[in-house]
Amino acid sequence: MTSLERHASAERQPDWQRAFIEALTQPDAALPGIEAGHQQRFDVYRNNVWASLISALEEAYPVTRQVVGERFFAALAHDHSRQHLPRSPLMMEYGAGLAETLHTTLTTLVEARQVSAAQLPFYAVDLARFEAARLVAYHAADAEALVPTQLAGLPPEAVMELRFSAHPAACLLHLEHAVLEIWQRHQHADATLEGLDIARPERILITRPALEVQVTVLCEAAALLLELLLAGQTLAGAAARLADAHPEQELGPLLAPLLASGAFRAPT
Amino acid sequence: MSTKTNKSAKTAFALASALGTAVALSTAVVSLPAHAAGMEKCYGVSLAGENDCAAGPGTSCAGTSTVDYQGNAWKLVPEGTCTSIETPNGTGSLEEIK
Repeated sequence: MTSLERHASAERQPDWQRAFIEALTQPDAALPGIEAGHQQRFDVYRNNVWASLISALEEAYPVTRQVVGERFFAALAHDHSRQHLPRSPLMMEYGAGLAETLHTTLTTLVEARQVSAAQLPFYAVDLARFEAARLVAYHAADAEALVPTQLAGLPPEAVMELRFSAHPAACLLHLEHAVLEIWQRHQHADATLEGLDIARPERILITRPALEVQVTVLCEAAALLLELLLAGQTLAGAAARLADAHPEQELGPLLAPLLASGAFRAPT
Repeated sequence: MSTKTNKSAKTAFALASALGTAVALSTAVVSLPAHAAGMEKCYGVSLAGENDCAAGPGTSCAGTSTVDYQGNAWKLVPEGTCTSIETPNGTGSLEEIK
């Protein structure tokens, strides 16, 4: 069923279905028309629905959860799931906007003067974006990545006109914090961020050329080059723009990590 | 005319050489499996929680207390903010505030 069809069928929902969903979203609401003895069963069902959504978020964002703490994350997941019902039965797609909910929540805490911004891990917002992007890449469609040697020996005229298309799993994140190292350090239980410059902006390229998700940190110029190429510019066009923006950088070394990471799709 | 041609030919060769560098560098860095030979995606062992039914957590009555959090529980602040985690502006201390 396409999302359009799902939407259409949602509009044709019978009243009892709408009432059922409505009661599901209210913590203490009784299901209209339910036999008195069955309300408790409905309560159990409702609770399991929310518990499963929260559990899905916990499993999708293990490092974010580790950073903000289990209790805070549980409250965050609770709020997020109240505001965002699943749009797909695939739970791997659930929770994509958690980073935004987290950002709003942290901002609200600061505005309520419960705590100062400096004391809150705003970097966890970037961390959540990163974890979400890794999941998306993991589940993206399989496709053959461009193998760099496929480009060897092209005549110069063809090189000028060379265009690239994005591999379905490729994703470029512009983050305000040194998320990759934060994430790596939290692969161990007793993580510490000692000695790490957290507030270091990072451009992270996420790819999955085969089975494993790969993460590549790009410099500003390489990220720009990737964006130009993925926007459909020819290699010559992108090189010209790059030379304007970063005259000190050479094209070859900037293009290399993009080719090596599998960011481009193999020509068909 | 000929200057223009020369210039674009020069650009083309420069680009081709840059591409050659990129190809050489990228293949040196990693040999990319075009399609991971002899491997296939096994959906049963995908990352936790990424199956399409929510079976497991939250499916038994034992989970009934899992959602017992107040919707306005934001008096809680992230744990770890003041203990193990250094923020960009130094380690926090929540005790002073609450």
